[in-house]
Amino acid sequence: MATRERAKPVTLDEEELLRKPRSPMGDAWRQLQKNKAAMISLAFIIVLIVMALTADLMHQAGWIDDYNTQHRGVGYAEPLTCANDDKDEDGVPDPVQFCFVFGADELGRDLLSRTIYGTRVSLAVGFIGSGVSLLIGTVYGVISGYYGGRIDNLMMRFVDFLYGIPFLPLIILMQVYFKSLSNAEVGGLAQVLVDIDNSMGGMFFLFVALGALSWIGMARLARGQVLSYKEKEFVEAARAVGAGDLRIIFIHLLPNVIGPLIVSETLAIPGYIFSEAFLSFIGLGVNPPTPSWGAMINAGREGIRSKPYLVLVPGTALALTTLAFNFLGDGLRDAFDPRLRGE
Amino acid sequence: MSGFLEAVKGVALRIADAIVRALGGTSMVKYIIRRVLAGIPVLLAITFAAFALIRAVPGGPFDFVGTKQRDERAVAALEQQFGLDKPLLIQFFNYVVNLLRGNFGPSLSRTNLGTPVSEIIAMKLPISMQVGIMAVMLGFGLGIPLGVLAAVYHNSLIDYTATFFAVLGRSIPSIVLGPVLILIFAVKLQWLPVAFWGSEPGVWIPPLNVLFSWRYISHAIMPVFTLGTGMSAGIARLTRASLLQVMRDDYIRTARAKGLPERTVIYLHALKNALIPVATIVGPLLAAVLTGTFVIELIFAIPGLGDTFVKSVSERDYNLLVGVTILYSAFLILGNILVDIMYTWLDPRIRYD
Repeated sequence: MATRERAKPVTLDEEELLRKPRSPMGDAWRQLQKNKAAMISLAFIIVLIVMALTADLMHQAGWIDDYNTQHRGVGYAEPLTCANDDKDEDGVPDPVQFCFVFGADELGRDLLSRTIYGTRVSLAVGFIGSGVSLLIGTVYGVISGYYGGRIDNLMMRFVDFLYGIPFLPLIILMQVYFKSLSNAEVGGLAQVLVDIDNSMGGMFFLFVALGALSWIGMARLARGQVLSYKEKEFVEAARAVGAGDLRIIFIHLLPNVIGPLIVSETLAIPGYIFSEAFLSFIGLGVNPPTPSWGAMINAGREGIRSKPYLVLVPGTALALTTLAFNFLGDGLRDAFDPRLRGE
Repeated sequence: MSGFLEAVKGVALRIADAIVRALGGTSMVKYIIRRVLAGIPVLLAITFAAFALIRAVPGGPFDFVGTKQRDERAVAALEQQFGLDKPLLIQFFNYVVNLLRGNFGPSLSRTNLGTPVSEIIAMKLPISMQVGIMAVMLGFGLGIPLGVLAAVYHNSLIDYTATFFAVLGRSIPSIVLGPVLILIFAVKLQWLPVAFWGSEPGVWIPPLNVLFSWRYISHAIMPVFTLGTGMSAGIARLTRASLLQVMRDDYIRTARAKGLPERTVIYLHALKNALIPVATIVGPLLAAVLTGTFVIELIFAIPGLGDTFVKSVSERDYNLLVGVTILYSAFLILGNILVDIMYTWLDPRIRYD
């Protein structure tokens, strides 16, 4: 014990030595906490998630309107106005007042409610799109990088092959095709999928189209990461003591390679959100009346001369959300890889 | 005569040799040729995908025939004329055979029925290119100074402001920025026109009197700005990180030790090397220009290629749609190859074989 005491470097004090072993994740989290913009963004995103999850509860509590309730006679209501709304078509306005914080759209639907419900589509596309891409890309890249040789060659040729495919035109074509399916009787398994899509307001095929095309970069990144780690001594040591391929991949490689992959996916989330917004903008995203910010911006463009808030409200929501994800992604990148901070 | 031929042959060989050497030696040429050849199956696959997908969508190009009631016989006659009555694979085979002859087939839309697709593309592509190239120029013109400023005044207010604007530029989607710009400059201030493009279609580089006319500029400002800010944000970030990296190198310390003024050190010594990684962004930008203009054209109603593509989808103009898709793919593949070539130019340690 005494020898160990003496071997202690002079610069380290007792406290530092006794501290628990630090994991890469814990380090990253401590680093992230120092980044104010990233933490504010994280808080904002959490608020968005809560809003998306509790939209129905807020509606039931009477705080917000249903996204599809059309208040009669108050189309294009200005922000911060109240109206006696006539829900039951008897020509007599109901005594209950309804106040439009952000105004109403051309059909008299409350813009605030639609924007809040719109969070659901954007976040769902952002998280599920990146989740699918992370899963497929990591599995593909790790297998390709770990086993190497002919398997790697074949798998990477396929990735190269997909890399030359223009993403946006193809996704537009796929969406046109999927949209045509939703009105048709197709039968069999396809009918099940079409029903799922219809019940999700057209989001399911959006996930399929986005997910099918977006894992390519992730697979390349994962492969590169695995290639750089698999020759390291700790992997060799694990193999020397008889660890199998699966154990090496899951226990030794994945924890090391997953950080940059998560960072890269976080930075890709705005891309998914933007893709959905753009597709909805040109009418190929979610099905109306499901509120989507992109579709709302497009609908508002026609009235932009007199009713700019129709574009500004969903536009601000969209911009703030992508901004938050970008700040968080940048913060995560700095936290996980100090070399990239450019300091 | 034979002496002349010999001379021509000699010059041709020397030029070929120079090209090969410029591209990085015979191994590099082999690599490029292999990459281009590898692109062919990709092109075939995307062609087939587009070909089959659009035909699987209900409705056909000739649905416009007959105002009140569709005249089935007329539709059948038109379909026969354009070979749409044949089985899918035969149609595809015929299309590819025509494609190999450089023939993209006739347009099937109502307004352009029978016009060669290549002619339509030749009219529309230059406009998309003008938007894209100007946006790239704006991206570099704005991004590099911003990045340099941020790096030179590292960790100061200037740095934070520049970095903040870079994130902002990257974050505001063009479908938000575009309408907001229209709202401010076209609707409220009425300085700029809302939509369309200020030069004739089919002209790659507009004549100078058009290029510098207010009509052209006023149409170009908003779309180019919308597309360019997003690019400049990425370029600024890259420039900053790269310059900060270089500033720590030994040769910079040497230059400072020699007593060179700080300005010379930064702008002559550091920037030269710092811009190398920035140059490689040109390849991804090429792809971004195409997909980017796609979005921009729809927002600002610019009659370019993206606009054509979306119209061809709704009009079920099969040939035009497949033609534009092939063009996008070809650009993307060439862009990817260009990136790899540029890496070897800029960093001789990278070798492909």
